[in-house]
Amino acid sequence: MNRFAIITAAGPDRPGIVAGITRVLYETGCNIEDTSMTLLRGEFATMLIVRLPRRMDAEAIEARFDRVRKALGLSLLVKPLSVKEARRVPRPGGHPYILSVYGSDRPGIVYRVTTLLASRGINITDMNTRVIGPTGRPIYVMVLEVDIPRKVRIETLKTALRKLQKAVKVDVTLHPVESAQL
Amino acid sequence: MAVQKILQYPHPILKSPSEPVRTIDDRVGRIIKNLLDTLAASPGVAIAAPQIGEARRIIVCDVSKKMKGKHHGRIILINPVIRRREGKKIVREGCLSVPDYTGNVTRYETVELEGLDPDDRTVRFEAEGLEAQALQHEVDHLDGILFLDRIASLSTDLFRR
Repeated sequence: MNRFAIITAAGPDRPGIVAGITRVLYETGCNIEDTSMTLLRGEFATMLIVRLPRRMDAEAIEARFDRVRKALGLSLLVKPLSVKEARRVPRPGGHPYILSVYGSDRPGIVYRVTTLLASRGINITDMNTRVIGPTGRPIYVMVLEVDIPRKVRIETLKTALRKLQKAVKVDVTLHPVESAQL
Repeated sequence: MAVQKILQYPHPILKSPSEPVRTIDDRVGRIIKNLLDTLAASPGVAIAAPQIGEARRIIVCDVSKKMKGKHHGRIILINPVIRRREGKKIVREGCLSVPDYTGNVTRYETVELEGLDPDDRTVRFEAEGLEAQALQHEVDHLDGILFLDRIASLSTDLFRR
């Protein structure tokens, strides 16, 4: 039995989206576990992991969102999760690093960088990109937090990034995220 | 005198200001010994008295195992006060009293601290880097402040360890 679900929703930003979604959750007896929400330009997007009430499955919950979905212009999905899926936390296998990439906007920056990372088994744990600068000369900025497996040699990775830097004409910096246990 | 249990949030003592030490007596000596023993047995680099259930303004710190640069080794500080802060930066830290999470917080690269040593002498010194970060974190504990209070944005600044 799936006792959890992940709700993903996005729509034009305005006050009341979170209240609208969580009202349905409260009324149906869903318990909110972890959530992530953010604003991207004028679009608001959210992911919520919820524990489902005893007598309702993901589909039944989704039906209860019909009204709020229409009222707020949201695209909203409720996907069931097993206990195992819901409780799964990314294994802290490697070392956290921040990779920043920036340069003149051109096709393929994200694709080339992320393909290089994927080929080495490097997982992206957080990523944001922005187009900044004047309209005529846009600059693409990409900041990734990645988990670098222990078996990956940092020097080898840096060499590969330097090659990519030349090929794609971007500037790349990789630095470890120091985390102090206090 | 022994390794003490490290209290975890939501224990109320972690959210309360601690009392200044008025006289350095045997009781204070026992707290210091317990703090040193508890720190040695933990994965952390610093600890404050309220974390072991003593609401007194005492901290101990030892970054020698984790820090390469200039540092002061074992520090025992009573009634510590941060006199000067320099070089704001964002760093990631975790806390023995808030297990499983780390967060990005604003700290200062260099701080100057003043307090009493266990022999009741006033000491004043400058710390930097990890040592400065640890001392700021511990002084916060004496004021009932957790790193969770200093996080600017949950969505990107709180990480599951």
